[in-house]
Amino acid sequence: MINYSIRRILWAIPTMFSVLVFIFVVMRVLPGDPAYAILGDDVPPEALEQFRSSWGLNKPLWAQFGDYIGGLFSGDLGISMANRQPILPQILRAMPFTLDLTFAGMAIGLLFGIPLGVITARYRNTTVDYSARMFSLAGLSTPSFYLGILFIFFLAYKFKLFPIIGGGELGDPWSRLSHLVLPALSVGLTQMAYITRVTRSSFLEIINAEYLQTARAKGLKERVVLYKHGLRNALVPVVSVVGVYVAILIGGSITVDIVFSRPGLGKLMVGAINSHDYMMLQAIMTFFAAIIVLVNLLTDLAYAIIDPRIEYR
Amino acid sequence: MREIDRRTFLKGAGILGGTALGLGALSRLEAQGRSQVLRYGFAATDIRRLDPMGGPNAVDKAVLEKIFDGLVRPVPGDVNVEKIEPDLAESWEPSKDLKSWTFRLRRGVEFHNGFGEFTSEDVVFTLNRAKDKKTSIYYKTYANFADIKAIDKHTVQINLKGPASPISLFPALLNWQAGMMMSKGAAEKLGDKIKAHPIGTGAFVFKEHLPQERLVLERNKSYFRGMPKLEQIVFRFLPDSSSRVLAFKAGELDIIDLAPEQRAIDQAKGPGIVTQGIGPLTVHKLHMVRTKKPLNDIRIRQAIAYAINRDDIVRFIGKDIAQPLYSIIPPSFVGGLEDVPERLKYNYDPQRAKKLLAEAGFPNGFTIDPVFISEREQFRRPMEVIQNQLSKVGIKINVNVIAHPAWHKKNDEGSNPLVLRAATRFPTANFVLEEFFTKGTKRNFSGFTGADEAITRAQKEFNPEVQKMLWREAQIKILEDLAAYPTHAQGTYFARKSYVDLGVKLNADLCICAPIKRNARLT
Repeated sequence: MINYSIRRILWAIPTMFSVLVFIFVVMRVLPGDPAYAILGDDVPPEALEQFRSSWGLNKPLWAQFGDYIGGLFSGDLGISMANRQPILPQILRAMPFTLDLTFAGMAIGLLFGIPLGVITARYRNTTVDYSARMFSLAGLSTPSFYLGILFIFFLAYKFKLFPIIGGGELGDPWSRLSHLVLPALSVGLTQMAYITRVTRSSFLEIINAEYLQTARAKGLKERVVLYKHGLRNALVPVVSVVGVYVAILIGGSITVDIVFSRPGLGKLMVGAINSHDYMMLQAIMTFFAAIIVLVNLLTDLAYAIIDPRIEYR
Repeated sequence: MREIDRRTFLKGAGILGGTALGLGALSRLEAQGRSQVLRYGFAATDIRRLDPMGGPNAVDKAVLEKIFDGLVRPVPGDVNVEKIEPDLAESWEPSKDLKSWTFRLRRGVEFHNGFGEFTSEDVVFTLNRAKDKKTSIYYKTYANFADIKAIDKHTVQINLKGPASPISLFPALLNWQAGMMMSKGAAEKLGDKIKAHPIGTGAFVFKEHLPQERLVLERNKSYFRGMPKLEQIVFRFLPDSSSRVLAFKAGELDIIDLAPEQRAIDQAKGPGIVTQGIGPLTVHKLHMVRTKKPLNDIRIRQAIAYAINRDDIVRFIGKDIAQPLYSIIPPSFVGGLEDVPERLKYNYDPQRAKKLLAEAGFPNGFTIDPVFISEREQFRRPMEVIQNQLSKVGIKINVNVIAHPAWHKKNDEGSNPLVLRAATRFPTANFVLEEFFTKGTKRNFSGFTGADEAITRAQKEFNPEVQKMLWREAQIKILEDLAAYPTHAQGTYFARKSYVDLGVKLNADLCICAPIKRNARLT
């Protein structure tokens, strides 16, 4: 078990490295010029040249990559090409908003998705099941940013129930929460749809399992049979996919950040993409990759702990 | 997991939902009544750097114009360098040979945050910094400045290398680009930090900047023109157009930037809302690169000009947005061609275009492949119209839509035969002419040098009337040669609530934003 954990942790390193190389190459190879993107259309050509040379953009690709890796090893995430401020503090300032959204979105997904999955499995092929599954499919197919705009239009604009823009004041729980509701719902509904499906199918599998038949034969009420004995096992696959779903959630949160103008990592990243701010983009992708690798690692380990049948060489 | 029956679950969900709604409603109730805090929605993710000389982008400029003053300013509400009035300088007079200008400074003007009185030392510091290539990307504007001397605490003498007309000199001394008067003391004390926390003499003081979230300015209680009526300006960074407009209409913002698109203006319109376009105008011109055959043949360029219908372009882009442009420099600019000769307007005449093509040896037209254009609507839409119009006379252009910075690269390296370039510059003929039509500049896409002499002579000329005549000559030459065909001009657009009183009748402003002056207020 320890060996497995250590091996998994070590695998994270080449994974991260591949992500970095990929981002680096893609950004440099794609057509486009940070100088124009950051300084704008109207500055004199000399200013653009000065910008390019100050960032070493005229050097050959391998030299630029070397500079970057060297910087990383000395723990320096670098300086943003757009505003020339150190990158790490900017990422740390944006983190709380992204973490809020990720947790809240996942919480909504689990809190509503698991019960809904159980209900639709239990009352399989009834109206409840069909309508819940249609709703779930709609949630899966609708992009989070579109949901976001719909929510803004109906709940914040027509019926002024929530604020439209911003992340609120971090120090003020009221403000923070009220600015979180609509964005969390936008990403959470998609999560809920995914989790409902997984829970439902997993629950269906165990519903007729032998050990539950035994419990029924013992005379236990159906409710006790399912929820006390069955649910724990049914949730195991859900835990194992949470890692993947967090990745989907983070993807959705990026567009939601833009729609709601939340100052999270998503907004930071879109700004960096538009500016071709390679330094910032590389740093943020590193962070995202690290979060996803970490969550997957944790769910794998949790999975191993929850299910005693699983052995790791 | 504990048994949970459906009823309990629904109860819990209901409580959770109700609480969330309640919290939301509460936070909306807390939202203000009408205080003198102006909430401005920017169409950008963040400022870049608040350094007037370092190449500020559109958002930076909008913030800087409220923090700084220049020695002189155009009469508020417009930008006309021939109508200048005192700002930080009370009066000025040139020497007889127009090479030496003496400025008397206002007394008792204080810099923000206690950085002391504005004196001639600060002018010397700022202008020396402005003409230094190492600290200012606008150093070329100060190429004619020899030295700047502090005669006494409130008198400055600017010595030029050659005599200058007011039209040539004053752009360098406005509250624009490097002319924004900086505090020597603050720059020395704060060093590079001054680019994140600028210190000026203006109506508003920089208070705080939360990256990607907001930037706050507070009023300068001891502003030399009097305390501003607005207590605070809060800028929010809202790159998404839909949510910005919805937030504006829902009452969370008082002013917003609008994209230069008819659709954006239509979306923003509503009761109690005023949409406005201001200058200086953004000129759009189609450069024809003569190194790409057959664009080297003037008959071909003329054919293209006659095939294009400006009115259609304007109609397609939007009546509130665009107007036809008949010369590279619009008539509202100083030095612009007011009466473009009919023959040089190249009014829509597809028959004539076909005739010219036949004369040039292309009776069945020809193909240009590829032509690049930016994916931004401002460029893509007019190019679509032009493509359509040209195809009607037999000129087929194969348009490649690419990312905006990539398009710039194609233009700069000479791979794009037809460059539909826009420019928003100081409204004096010199700037656009110098940047796009002189020899050796990187942006002379057309490769035309026939107007060089007129343009360079105008720069050195000290008589404004002769300058204007030379600029007119340059424009005529450009039109005769069709180095570039002027298509249309656009303004800069914003929407404000009718209770926002900007305090001035606004036609144009150098910040290319909604300017907020001392007497702006929320009624």
